[in-house]
Amino acid sequence: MKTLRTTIVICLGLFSAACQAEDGKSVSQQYIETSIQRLESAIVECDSIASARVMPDSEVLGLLRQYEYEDVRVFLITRSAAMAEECQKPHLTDLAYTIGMLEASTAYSEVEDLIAGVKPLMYGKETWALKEKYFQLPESMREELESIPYFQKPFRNIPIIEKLESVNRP
Amino acid sequence: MECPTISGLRLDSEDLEAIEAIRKAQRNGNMLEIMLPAGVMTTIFLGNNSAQAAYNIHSTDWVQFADAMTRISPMVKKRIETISQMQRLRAGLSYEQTQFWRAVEAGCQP
Repeated sequence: MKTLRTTIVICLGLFSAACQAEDGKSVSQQYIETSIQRLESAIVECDSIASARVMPDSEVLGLLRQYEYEDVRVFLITRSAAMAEECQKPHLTDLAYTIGMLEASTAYSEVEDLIAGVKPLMYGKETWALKEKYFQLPESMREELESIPYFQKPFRNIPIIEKLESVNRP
Repeated sequence: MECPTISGLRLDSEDLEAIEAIRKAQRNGNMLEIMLPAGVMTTIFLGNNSAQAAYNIHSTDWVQFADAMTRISPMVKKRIETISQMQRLRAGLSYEQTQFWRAVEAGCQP
């Protein structure tokens, strides 16, 4: 009887050690939290890249002025969102995969609340709406402006829009 | 960008819906166990009366906002930015609405 009790205690101890981290979090919680932290670091890093960019040169600004101002405004807003997303994509994809994997797992109840909080932050309706607006722009315009190296990395759209607007002011 | 003083800002139903989406994002951010300033958008911009006709936002309000933005989770901040960008794409925004959403997106510096 004593041997059986000892065996049960050891087994429970091993089970617990395998599933719980030192701070009481389950392996699944730790796993998804790491994935979230990586994405958050990527967001900060991609934002720093955009902040560090200087204004595009006069040749690029001149090219932008050849198009309808409203189309240019839409391009700059939606393209800057797309480039930020592209920069974050490896970690965004990793978190999306982690969520899908855990949703289908037996550990789902351990991370249900966390997933319920994170998913709306990743998949707001605006994310697709911005993309849709981008693809509604004239294809030739998109192709020409996309080919400019400046618009192939994260950038700030507001300073460029303000620069273009300042020229139009009386 | 500098924090603008906006006088006579009139928010329409879509603006209020976007602000509600931001509040919801903040609540979701709480699930990430990150301390967020409670109802920052409400207290800073709308007070207790969200049905007000016109708002005056002073640069000191933006100081509070900029401070709050530095303390929130990057995922929530990103979501606020995306909501603001979508608002800025709407046709027929007033000058004040444009200023408001630009400042929210850019997290203006006092």
